Amino acid sequence: MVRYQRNNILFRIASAAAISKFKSIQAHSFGQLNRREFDFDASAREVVLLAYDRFSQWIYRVERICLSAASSERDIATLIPSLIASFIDEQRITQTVIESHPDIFKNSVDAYVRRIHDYTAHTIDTYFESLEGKKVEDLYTGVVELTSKYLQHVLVAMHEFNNNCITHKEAPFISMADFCHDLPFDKRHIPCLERLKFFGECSNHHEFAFKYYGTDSEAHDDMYAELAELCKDLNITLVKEEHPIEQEE
Amino acid sequence: MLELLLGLLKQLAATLTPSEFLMVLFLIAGGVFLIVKFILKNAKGSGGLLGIFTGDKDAKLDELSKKLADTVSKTELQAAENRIISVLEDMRREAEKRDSEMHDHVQTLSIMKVELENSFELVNKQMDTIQHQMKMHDLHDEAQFTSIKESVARGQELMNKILSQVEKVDEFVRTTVPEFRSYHKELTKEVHTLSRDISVMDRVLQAQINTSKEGITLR
Repeated sequence: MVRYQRNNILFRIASAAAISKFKSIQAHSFGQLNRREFDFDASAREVVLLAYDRFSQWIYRVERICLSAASSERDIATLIPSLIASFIDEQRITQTVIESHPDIFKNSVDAYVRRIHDYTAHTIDTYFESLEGKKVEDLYTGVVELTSKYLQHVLVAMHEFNNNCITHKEAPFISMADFCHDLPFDKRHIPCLERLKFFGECSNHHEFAFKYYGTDSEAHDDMYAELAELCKDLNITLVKEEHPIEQEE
Repeated sequence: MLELLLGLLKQLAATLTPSEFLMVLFLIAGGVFLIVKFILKNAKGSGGLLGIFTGDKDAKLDELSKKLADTVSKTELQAAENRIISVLEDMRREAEKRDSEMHDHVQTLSIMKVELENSFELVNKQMDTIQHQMKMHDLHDEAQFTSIKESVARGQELMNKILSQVEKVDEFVRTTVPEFRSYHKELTKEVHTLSRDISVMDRVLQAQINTSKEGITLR
């Protein structure tokens, strides 16, 4: 007999909306990769595309898991550790693909991506903790939103790598988006600091501009101040972006 | 004797001219004739054909000539008669033949006449049949025409009924349409307003989508 799982219409509505939003942002991100003024290196572009590809499939698998949990009335809280492990596993697969194709992923991009994966693995559980106790449809929506933020973080990080290590079109810079901003204070700057260390190792730069992509524009100054203070320990000077351009429509 | 005579004739032909030779021949032929005549006369005695050569009896000569002529005539006559008879026979045979042919023709004509008569009879019969059928057809047409007339009459009746119904409906519509019209007008107006609102909403949503701040724009 063919197995059939009863559907949960409320969950389906929520998951469809979440995936729709995810795809919309994905399209926008791919548009950014195509912008001529940045002259995105092929390796950097491929990393973003690969990450989006892997995690697009991952959110569909998570959807099925959540639906199954909802129909079996399984305790949602037990899902979260599995989801965290699964998320990290996806990053590991991405890393393996990058390292297996050095002809495509050049310019030490694999080392840079490994740095991203390392600090993400140490911070991702914080995001999932905030989803505990929620209904399954809210859990899924939260997971998809988190994944979207993470992938935009990858986009921003590759934009930095492209400029700071490959094209050198403008002065080196470091960026912060919601993925980092949403972390607790003791963890939110770890991603930026790790990347600054990487850029310092490969290019010996000590002055970086700070670009803030967070949705909370009022937090811009605070974020800059906090990070600037932490950069002193690395002997790095952080310069605030003089005229930050409003996000294009 | 004969050889001598022939030799003599040859000699004469060689020496004399052709006309002279002919003269001589005639003379010789005449002499021979007279001799033969004399001999014959003497052989028969008093009369006979030879009496002609002597010239004694012209009458007998004439008689002989006559008999001879008669004999000749009879023979000729006989021959002629025979010829005539033969011809007549031929003619008779021919006539018989023609007669037989005529008889055949007449027989053929008789047969044809009979056949023609039969054909005419047949045609007449068919004409009668057709006439009869037409009569029947006319009767049938008449019956059909009658039924058609009935159907038309029924149809007309029905039409009248329908028309009266339509009149009733028309009267009803006339009285109710004004109300319906005003209701319909209001409904149309509301639908139009709703449609406009939907368009406005759609435009607003589109604008929101286009100006969405979701998604990082790199700088």
